[in-house]
Amino acid sequence: MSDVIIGIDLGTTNSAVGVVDCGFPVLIPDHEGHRLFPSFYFNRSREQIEVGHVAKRARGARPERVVYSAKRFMGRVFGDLRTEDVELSYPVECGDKGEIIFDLGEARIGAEDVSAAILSKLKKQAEAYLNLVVDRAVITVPAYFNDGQRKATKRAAEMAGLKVERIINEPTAAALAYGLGRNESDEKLKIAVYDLGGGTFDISILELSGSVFEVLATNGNTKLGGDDIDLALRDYLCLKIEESLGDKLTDSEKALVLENAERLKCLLSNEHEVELSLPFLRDSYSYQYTLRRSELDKLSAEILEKTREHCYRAMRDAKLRVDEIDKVLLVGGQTRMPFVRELIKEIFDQEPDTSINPDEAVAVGATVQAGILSGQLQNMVLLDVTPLSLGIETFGGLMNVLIPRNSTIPTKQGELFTNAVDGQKLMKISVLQGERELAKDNWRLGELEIPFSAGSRGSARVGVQFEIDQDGILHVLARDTTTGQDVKLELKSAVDVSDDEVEKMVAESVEHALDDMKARQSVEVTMKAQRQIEAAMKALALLGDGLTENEKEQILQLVHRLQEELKKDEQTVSVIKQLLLELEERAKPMAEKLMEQALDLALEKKGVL
Amino acid sequence: MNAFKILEVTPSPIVDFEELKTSFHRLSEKLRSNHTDGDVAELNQAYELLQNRPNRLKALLAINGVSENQLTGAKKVPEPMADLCMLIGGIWHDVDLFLKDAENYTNLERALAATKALDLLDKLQDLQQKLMIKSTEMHKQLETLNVKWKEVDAVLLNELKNFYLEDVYLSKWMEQLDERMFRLSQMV
Repeated sequence: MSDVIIGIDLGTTNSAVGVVDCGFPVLIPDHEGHRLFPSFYFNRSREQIEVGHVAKRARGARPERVVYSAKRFMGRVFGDLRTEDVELSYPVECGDKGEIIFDLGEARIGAEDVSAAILSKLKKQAEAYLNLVVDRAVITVPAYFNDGQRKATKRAAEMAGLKVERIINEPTAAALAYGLGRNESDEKLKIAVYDLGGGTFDISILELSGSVFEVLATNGNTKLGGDDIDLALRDYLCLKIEESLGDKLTDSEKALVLENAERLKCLLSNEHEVELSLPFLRDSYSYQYTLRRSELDKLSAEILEKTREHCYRAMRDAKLRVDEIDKVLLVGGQTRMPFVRELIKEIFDQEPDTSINPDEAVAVGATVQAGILSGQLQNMVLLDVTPLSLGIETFGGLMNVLIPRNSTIPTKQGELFTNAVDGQKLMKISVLQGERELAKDNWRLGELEIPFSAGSRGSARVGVQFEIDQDGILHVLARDTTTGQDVKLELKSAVDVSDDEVEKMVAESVEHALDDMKARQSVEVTMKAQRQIEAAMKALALLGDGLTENEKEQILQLVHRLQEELKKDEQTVSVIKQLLLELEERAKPMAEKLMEQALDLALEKKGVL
Repeated sequence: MNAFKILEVTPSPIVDFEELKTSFHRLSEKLRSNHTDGDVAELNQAYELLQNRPNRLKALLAINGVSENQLTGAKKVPEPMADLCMLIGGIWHDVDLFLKDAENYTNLERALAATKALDLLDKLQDLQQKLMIKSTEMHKQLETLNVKWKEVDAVLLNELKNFYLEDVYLSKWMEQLDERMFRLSQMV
């Protein structure tokens, strides 16, 4: 094992690697001088795999062979995906055991293989820079990653020949980067880290006091990020192009639009309007469009609004009021968007701190942690927490919490199990992660089989210890208190189970998985449209005179267009989605008036008005 | 495991949270420089346990010889809480049904349902008041117990045991109420 430990930010869109050099964390550039490494994977041919910038550039020409945003699929199974998750330019399929597979021609690979290829490249980059063999790393993950997603990250690192010395949470890493060198004073500082990346959102509340960094609470969503905005913008632009062209766009044309959507989104952080120009998109057809920032904001509003609730939850769990937060740090490229900054300002009632580089802070923090572990930096005490409550399913389908969310890690908790009938040899329990009261609403980590030494009912006793380590990964140990024997229990996840029955079920669902998903999406959108039509008509009837003729007319027109679209045999999901978006926008004043009326009524009831 | 001993605080029904935190930070620094993972997990577990009132009381009862088996009464709602339990069951039912429907609402649907949401929120606020009164009463009770705690005898232990059995429910309800109020208030 080498002495040196590198820090890696394995991001959805970009990754980076760093090392402590002469007491300072530095990010290692590639031979072209880039410190950010695109998390892209290109299967050029059987023998030739490309990652990084080359792979990213290849997407325009060979979209079906370039994997990006693979992090979204880490540690997940196909059945767990939403319809939006597979709307990518490369094929996402369901494997024999329900796992997620990317079909890239000669190669069928999973998200872990993609991550391993990226990590391996970063390892080489570090080795070339240091002129040393590197085999130890600190890797960051979104704070809200569950046990399975963390384990998958660790496996990918092992495949790349890296021993994971520590997995740390991205917002915590960013706070470390921010706090380095500021920990001299005794002043207690409460900071919120708002981390909106390509595929995930985290909000962490920390307290910095002296050399102690304590995470008070964390919250987030591992299915929410800048990617969602790119896709929304792509759909919006594709619809406009198709209207003008009078024909459907092909997959590779859509991939081209996506690439432009990403670029335009970034440009709109500094400009108020940008030009989309697609010369000779098809034969002699060229397309040109001026995209305004306000259009992008409208498309993103629904996605970004979702971060608000997570922020409130984190503050509630940290038992802090908004005015007790001293600083709000921004992490993740998406936080460059002016609309995001406005939203943060509104949520936290203060201007966010922009002193750290939102793209690099996480990698710098990982490097700081690597430096602490290798002894190159002073020992700071990092008290991080587990993002999700850990529990087991009890009789009646309820979740019994053993380790509550936001417990400082590592931590452990014991539970005693006893046989319920004479001679019972085994007991199966489901291990869950999540905050809902019903077991079925939570994430199922897997099943445990507790072995009993035979005996009459109630005589066998097995103590099971659940331990969450510093990486946020669960370990389970069982001790038979009657025999004194210890057993290490393996958690069997859905993918591990090789039950014939399960395999058959999976095989059946695999065949139609993608079709099912498309059908489900169509049904979901149709139902939403029908509900929204009903709501709009109801709101019109209720508000009647409160609206101008013009307002009423516009809403009725949209309702009519939606109804027409729904009547068609071949409905276009993207058209319905777009109409829904427009209707939601037009109905805004109605929603506001209704909300006002409801509040007035409530006050009246209380005798205040 | 004796959580009080691990955190180096005096065992009593009420602990000073600032003192607890200072002690936790000091011990964390000490342990981490020695790199002993198992001990760190134990320290963290003890810290978590002492912050939660019913768990702390359970631990206090345990070190005074009251085992978990003697606390199995916790499976049954204590007499003084029975009425509250019925009331809460009814309210949870209404609120949960509403929240389930509202999960996929559009903004307009949410606005149309606002009156209902505010009504339910009102009910929860009434309930919150009831629980707060109960909680204040119980806190006073615990303060009295805390003062008497210097000399622990069978009577005192029994009092604490009964207190614990009620507290388990109250704490759980407060938590459930908090979550429901939070979700409803996000709607309006």
